[in-house]
Amino acid sequence: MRRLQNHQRRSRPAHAGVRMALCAVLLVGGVGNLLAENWPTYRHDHRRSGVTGEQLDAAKLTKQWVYRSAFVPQMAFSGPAPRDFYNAPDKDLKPRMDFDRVFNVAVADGRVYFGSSVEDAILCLDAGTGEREWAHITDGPVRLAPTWHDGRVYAGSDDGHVYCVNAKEGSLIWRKRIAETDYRVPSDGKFISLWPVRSGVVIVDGIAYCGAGFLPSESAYVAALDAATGETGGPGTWKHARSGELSLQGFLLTANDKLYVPAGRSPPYIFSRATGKLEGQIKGGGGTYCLLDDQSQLIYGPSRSGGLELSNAEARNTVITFDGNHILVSKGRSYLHTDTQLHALDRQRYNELTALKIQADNRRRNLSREIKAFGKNLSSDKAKAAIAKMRQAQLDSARASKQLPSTVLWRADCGHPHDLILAGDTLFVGGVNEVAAHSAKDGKVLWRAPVSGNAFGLAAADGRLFVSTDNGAIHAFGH
Amino acid sequence: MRTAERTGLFALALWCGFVWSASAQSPTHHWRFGRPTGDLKVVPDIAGTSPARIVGEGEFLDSPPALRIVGRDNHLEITAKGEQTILPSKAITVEAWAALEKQTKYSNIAGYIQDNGNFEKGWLLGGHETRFQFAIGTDRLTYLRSKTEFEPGRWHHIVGTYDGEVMRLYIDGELDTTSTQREGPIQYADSWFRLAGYKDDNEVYPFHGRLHEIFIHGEALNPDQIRARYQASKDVFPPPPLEPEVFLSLGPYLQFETPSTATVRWHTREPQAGRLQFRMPGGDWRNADVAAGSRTNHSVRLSGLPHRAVFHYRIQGRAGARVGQTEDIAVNTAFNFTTPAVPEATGPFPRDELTDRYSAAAERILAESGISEGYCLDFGCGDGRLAYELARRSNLIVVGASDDAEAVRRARKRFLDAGVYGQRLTLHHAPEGRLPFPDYCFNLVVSDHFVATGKLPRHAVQLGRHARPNGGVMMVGKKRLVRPALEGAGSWTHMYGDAGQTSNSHDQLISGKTGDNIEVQWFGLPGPDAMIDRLGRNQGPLSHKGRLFTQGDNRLIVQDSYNGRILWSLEIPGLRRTNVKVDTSNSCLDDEAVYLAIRDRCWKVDAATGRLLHAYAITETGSDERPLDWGFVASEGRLLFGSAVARDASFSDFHGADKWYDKPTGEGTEKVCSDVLFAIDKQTGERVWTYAGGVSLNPTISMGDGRVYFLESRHPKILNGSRGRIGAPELYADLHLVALDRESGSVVWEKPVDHGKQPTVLYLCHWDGALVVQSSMPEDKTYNLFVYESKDGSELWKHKYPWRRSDHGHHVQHPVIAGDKLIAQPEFFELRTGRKLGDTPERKKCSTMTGAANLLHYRDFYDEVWDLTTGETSEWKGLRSGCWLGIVSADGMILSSESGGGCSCNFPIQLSIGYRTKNDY
Repeated sequence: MRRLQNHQRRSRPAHAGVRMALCAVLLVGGVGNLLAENWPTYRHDHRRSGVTGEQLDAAKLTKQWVYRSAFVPQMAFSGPAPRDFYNAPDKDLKPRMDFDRVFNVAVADGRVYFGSSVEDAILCLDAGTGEREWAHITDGPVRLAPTWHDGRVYAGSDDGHVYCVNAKEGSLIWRKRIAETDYRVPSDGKFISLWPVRSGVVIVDGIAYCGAGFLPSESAYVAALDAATGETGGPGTWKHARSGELSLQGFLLTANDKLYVPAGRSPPYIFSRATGKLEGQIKGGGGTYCLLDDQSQLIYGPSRSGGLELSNAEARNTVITFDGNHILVSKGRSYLHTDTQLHALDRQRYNELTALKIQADNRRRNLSREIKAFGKNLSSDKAKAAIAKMRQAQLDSARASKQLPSTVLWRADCGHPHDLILAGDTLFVGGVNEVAAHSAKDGKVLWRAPVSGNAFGLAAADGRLFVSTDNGAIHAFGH
Repeated sequence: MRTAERTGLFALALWCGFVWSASAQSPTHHWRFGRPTGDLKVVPDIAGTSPARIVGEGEFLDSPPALRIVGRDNHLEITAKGEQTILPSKAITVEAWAALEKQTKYSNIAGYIQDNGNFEKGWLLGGHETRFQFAIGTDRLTYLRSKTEFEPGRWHHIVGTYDGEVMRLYIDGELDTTSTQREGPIQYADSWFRLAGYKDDNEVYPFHGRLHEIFIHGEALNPDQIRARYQASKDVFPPPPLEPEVFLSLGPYLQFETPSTATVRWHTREPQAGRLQFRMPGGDWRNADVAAGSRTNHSVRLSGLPHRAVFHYRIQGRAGARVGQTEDIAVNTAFNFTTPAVPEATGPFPRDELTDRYSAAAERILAESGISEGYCLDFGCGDGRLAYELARRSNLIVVGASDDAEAVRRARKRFLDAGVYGQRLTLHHAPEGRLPFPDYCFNLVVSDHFVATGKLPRHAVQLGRHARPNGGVMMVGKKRLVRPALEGAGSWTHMYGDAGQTSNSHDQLISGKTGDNIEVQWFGLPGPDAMIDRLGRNQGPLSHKGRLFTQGDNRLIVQDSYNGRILWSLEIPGLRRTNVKVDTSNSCLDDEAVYLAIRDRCWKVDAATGRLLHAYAITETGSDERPLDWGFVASEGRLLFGSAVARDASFSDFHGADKWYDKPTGEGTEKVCSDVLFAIDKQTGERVWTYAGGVSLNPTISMGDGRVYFLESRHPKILNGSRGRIGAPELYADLHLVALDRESGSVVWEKPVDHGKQPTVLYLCHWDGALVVQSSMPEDKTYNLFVYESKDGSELWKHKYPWRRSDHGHHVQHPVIAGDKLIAQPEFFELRTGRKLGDTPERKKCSTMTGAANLLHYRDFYDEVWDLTTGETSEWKGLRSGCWLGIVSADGMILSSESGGGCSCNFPIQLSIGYRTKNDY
């Protein structure tokens, strides 16, 4: 059930062609900010970039409607232990399994799509009014945002199936169980497959990619299905069962020929997109917040220390770290989002310096071990050389650290730590009972608006900002 | 800024960028903690330029003006590490008016310190357990501890001075103690300048208390100056408030009732009006509405609780004319596991001729079945009308099933449109009555089809497997069928399985291999947030009659063993007991209740509902007239067994690397000992017998064959020394093994024994006429087994063998007895002969082994089982039960409560989980 607060009802153009024509006319007239883009999947695209060309005039945004579910999202997992009292007793642990904190949305052609972890359904709202257009009920929670593609909506369910439904009406086109076995067990008020589809669904070149299975003691499945039929057997399709230790949870990503599958608290896995072959696992921390930058490097977190790590498919080692919750990459800049601040960084310089520092720190650690092995015999030439090298590594690390502040192009206080997206040249941030907009040029605050709950899910599309909060509400702000 | 005179102070590069001085009694820093007029988060530095910023929360108080800081998340920060500040070097006086409310290891009032092994710099002033302390670091640190003990809650004037040669500590205007161990300037290293809390590079300790004023002087004030300053202010401070235990006899504790309400209950010693204050997030303290009148049993219902947020409450009370209050008790509503009501906004069905029929049917089913919690299966659910009425009237999660796919689709849409689908009610298509669910999942099985037609639904043959054993009810047809307990099922009623401490449920139904015939039955809550980080070697789970009892952090969570549904939970400050490997656990079960030893009482709590049924009290007092705590707790038949230990002798901390209690020697390996043992008639509450012999070692108290067994020290030094937690080697010097008659408490036999000098752990268990004493000896890294006849104490055999490792729990393993086998990692033996049967499987990680009749369950790197009938081991990859005793078996289930939360291991998921060996229903 939902109640609707319709602040400013806007009807959706009846036909996409009409809509495009209207946009073209407006463009000619110089009102470019109304050129609406879709937000067809979680964080806009399969890199989960959180960046869209949709330009919203932040200062003119007003609340248009609020969709209020009668239920707060029912997350798959509880929060983390408060702290690691053994290693870091004064630092709160950040949640690494919170991919379903809110009803994240996909927006396309004037409709808003989301999954419900309570109502076990894929739901569709009119983007202009917030009225529910249709719902397709599955046999289990739908925890991750659906993906819209070419008039169809794809979603995974905790019942172990991938669903493809008609985007206009919600009628079932196909449904496919990923695991061989249909076995569902009680879990906090639901009956959930041992192989729930908690990866989201990614559509590339007519293939729907997904993962199923979260209990590492059971097999997990990664599949490439024909997006038209849900079947395997045709070109580019495959399905593989992997036994042992895989826990596929979090929005799947893809770039080039790789699939990246988040794995809950563990580091993400890398698969070949062409064959489904497991190519390896990232070394480092885990976390289900992931994005691929423009060089197809994976940024993920939060790590145990609470920050983000950057790795690439080849090395799979952490090469850069970020002390923040979120990061966006656009036009030579990184926007880093911490609990209290927003930073715009000279991306190349920051990455170079951080990489230097990590290399130096690794060198220092290795040399330290080497020196320890000498015991008290530190007067040998080898020992002296190692000590000299370690000192140099310390100096290199310190030098890089010292230069890091110079990479900050601007810094702004920001008390909205929950989410960050970039729409055109505006950064939107989500916080506690509030959302805000900052100029991407200089960080200045452009706009604030109240919302109900913690704003963990932002999307910009169709001339609107959509804000999903942890009390089950979806807010729409428009002009 | 004032002008500086370079006399008494020293400029420190980086840390102390300024050089500062002052004339006599003109302080360098001065913070007065009155209610602020400006920034509520900042306490200005009246004498200097270093305001104190409140990190977290503080409570400003009046009469006298003060700031109350409590707990790990709250303190005052002057500077973070590396930031510049002004600190005296040649001489210093740190002066404070403070009231410490809790005796903790480091209740630090003010400090700038690094104390990391041999790296010791800076200074501090604060409390250390029962006394005050003042530390100065030159090349090393000296901690000067006061002779005066502080009374929690009382205002004290505490002053530490150092003049470059002598350290002095003054309490309430008088010189208390001195030291000349330090000389020369104070040395500093980069650190945090913090008030109301301790922090250096590797340690953090919270503060519990109130601050009125703090001064830091750049000189050592003399005794006359200090006395004068004390005299000038002392009359401002009132006498301390009452300790809560003076007016409270039980509680408080909290039970969530609905997603937005909870009831707090407590008992006072004297009849009085109840008074509870609460504070919602971001709000001020408010008085709760308490029933009028004078009484001893109090309860307050709190409503409007926020979702997933922390609120606080505290109880106020009086004894005679004096008043007091408990500490602020934090409650996180994330641990409110109650079932939400079905939204009532729009009913999915019109009022028609069926309305009354379904209402009546639902009410009859609920009344006759007696089931209102857990899962309900409505087989042949039609359009879901019965399912809906049942959900509305109970806390059941109702699952409807029908073989008519179109009917399911229509009914789903109807419920979704009405806003009631999903949370409490779901419908499923069941072709030919088949549902892809495990056996035993449902507490109640009903049929809408039968209500509508009076006939059994199609495919009713499928129904039998769904009802949960040991109380699951089927009301399909005209009879009420209650599923009995599974034949051969075991129980886990005490910490180590049973009162004989065998670490075994003796469950006959569990066997086989993971991924083969052992399958997942349920998973989910509780998660790591509810638990103690790495468990702190606390009370493990208990399970009996299809209920699983898990202790989290001052919290008891009770679940259905067959479907994991949380039935109820209690938030109980003071419940936590850690390091039970050198103590006894605090809980046990019988058919009716769970027993919880909390302070000087044992609570009898209804196992089905969480309602407090009774609280048994210890009647003795300690040698110093302080109350004793309830130590050992066990239940057999009509009797409840207990022991009395010195107040606060049991461990309760888990915050810190050493609070994992993994060291083979030193702190944490003392044994908690009881002064008396006793038995109480559970029905009447009357004491049946009391035994007060020597000093009994709690981890060895065990029962079997109608007797109570334990090891007891009779060494004069122990008998005449301080009781409770004992680390003295004499504890083991005059040791006796004692057997008491369970019904009378009389000594059946006793004998002197020698079980080594100072074991890391010392356990005793009983099974099949054999008594097993196991000790682990750090001096030679061995386990020692001593096996005796339980009827007379004659020795059967003994054996010494090396332990595998001195860390990660390998040296504190509790033995498991499985039939005629004694499994005592890393070897196992024939119980009565000592014949070695083999080595236990290689294990890497922390937990202690537990088992069933034919299968052991434990953690290697992952959770693992060892089938004793085949000798095969198998594992659940990627899953871990935690760092102590996290897996038990009972009722034909293997039950693993999440318990490794804060661990740095990168396991992909953290959850609780239940497994079952597949068999025909």
